Amino acid sequence: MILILVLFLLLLIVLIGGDRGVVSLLTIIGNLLVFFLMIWSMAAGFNPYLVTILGGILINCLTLTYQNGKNIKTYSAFLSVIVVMILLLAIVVLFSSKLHLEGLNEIELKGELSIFYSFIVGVDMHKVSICLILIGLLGAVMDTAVSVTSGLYEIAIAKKRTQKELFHSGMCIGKDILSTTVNTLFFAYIGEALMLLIYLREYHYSLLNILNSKAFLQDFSCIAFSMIGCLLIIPISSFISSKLYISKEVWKCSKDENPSC
Amino acid sequence: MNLKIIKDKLHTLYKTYPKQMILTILFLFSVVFLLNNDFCYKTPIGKIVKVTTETSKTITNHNNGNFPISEKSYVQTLTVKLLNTSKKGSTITLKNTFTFSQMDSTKFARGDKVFLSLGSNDSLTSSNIQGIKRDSYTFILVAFFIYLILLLTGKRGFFVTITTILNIAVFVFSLHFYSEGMNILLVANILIFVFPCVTLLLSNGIKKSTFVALSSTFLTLTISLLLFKFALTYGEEIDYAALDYIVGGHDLEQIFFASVELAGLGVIMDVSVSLCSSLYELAKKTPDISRKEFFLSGRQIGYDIMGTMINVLLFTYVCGLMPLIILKMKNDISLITIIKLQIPFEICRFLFGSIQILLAIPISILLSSLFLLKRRNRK
Repeated sequence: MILILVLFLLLLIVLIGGDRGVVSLLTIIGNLLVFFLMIWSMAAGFNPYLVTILGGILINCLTLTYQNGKNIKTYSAFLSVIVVMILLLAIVVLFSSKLHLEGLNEIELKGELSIFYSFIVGVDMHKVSICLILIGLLGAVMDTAVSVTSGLYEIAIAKKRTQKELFHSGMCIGKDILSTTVNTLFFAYIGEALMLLIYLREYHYSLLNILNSKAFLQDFSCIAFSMIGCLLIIPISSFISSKLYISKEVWKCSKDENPSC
Repeated sequence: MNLKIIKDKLHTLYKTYPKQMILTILFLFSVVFLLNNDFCYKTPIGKIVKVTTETSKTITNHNNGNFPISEKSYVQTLTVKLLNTSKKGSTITLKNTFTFSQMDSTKFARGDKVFLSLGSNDSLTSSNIQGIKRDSYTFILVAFFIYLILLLTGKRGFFVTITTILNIAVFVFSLHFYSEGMNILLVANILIFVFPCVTLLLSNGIKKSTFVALSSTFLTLTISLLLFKFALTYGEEIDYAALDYIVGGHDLEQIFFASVELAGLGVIMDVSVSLCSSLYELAKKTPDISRKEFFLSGRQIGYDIMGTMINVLLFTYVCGLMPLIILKMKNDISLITIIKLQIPFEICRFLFGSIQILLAIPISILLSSLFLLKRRNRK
């Protein structure tokens, strides 16, 4: 069945996407490769933090520069994502040290895993849990950053404006896309967590139990951090791109010219 | 001297941003409350005040082919101070074992709070750790999100929060119907009709572009679900027993289908709203735009959206697999085998979501051009 879905997807990418579609396809494959390389290196014993930083920067570069082109829009998006990821690293580390979400959760431990697998893996799962959250939110944060910087670019080249006006416009763009981003994350979470939530209901977990259970919180905290990341990127990317667009005097570029000016 | 300067600065801050300051104070208050609300609980809660860690032994994993892995196992002596119940203030000494990887154990630190089970009459002699108290931090996380969204986006953020809470309520309510015996697919089908209506009407308002977005959402959903049904029927069978949290019913395939339906809803709505709103603005600003230019603009916007959205799906779905993949790799299963055989569901979800994104683009453009462009005299 996966084969049929892959064929459909390839067909649609070529039909609907055209050349840009093929570029997107290559970016996805590239990101997947980087992702599996990261897992492999974490399993091999490299410091998970180092792997995440390098992998994150690589994914960032790949998606933004290769897929969206090398121009001032992607450059400011790239910078904004890096700033937000550093901020989020601090927030996630703080919460993770208290939440203790590393390793397998109580439901997985009750299952068959302990019969087949040894749990001695030689990898610090606490660090892995932090990296997992950071990589998970990378996609949503990049998406929001690109939306804000691209939208702001269109506004910046139309007329010469002050940085304050540009920043305010950027915040407006962010507010507009905020609801769709939150909804995308919310429904993606509900779809994934449906089985878990049915399970928790069947086994009569009280509300207190659910809010304290590792199984629930592992997915929930991932989504919560993604949403927080998407929120933080709006003012940061508005600020960075407004500063950049002003300093590069972007209003002097007419719409038909190469946008990398 | 310094204190007065700080006080003046805070005072000016309060004068210029009164709402934000009130919000910050509310947030800080709630954090302090959440971290100290142990008196509200009936279950005994203890706080770890002292930890001594000693290396105990080394455990080896021989499953990893020719490279056995060894880890040190540690024993912690925890001094736990009771925070509630009649014996509040007394201390208990407990032991905890953990391994370096913490795959199935936890390393406790000073300041961690745990739920305890005490003996009868709150006796301290036979007490045990029941679990880690995480709910304060869950609530702080949610409060932090609400604080940020109200701080940064004001009224818009407030509506987004209300919509999300409403959606959660609808979802929990419908799960109740499922427990009462209703078919999960029926529940999901009703939900994918209700959710877009609620969400889009609340966040976008009652505008023409909202209705176009709604219709494009429903059309995309129908077509993509037919496609999925086709793939399910004619493709290879998936072993649904490999799903994660099985409750032992006979409707595993239906639950999987329902979960894919619901997850796709978010991306379809996102693409539809982005495209329909932008095209609506375009049609309003240039009312005599030609149909061809309209399509081309739509396609250009679609291109921009498509790439990053597919990446959003990729990272959200795939990153949760990390711990299990590492576990299996260290038990001598090669990465290639894991990818090929053991993560079919996430791959399915991702493929399906991407197909829905790609389908939503032309459908939105088509419906927008039908409803948003003025009718012209045919020449």
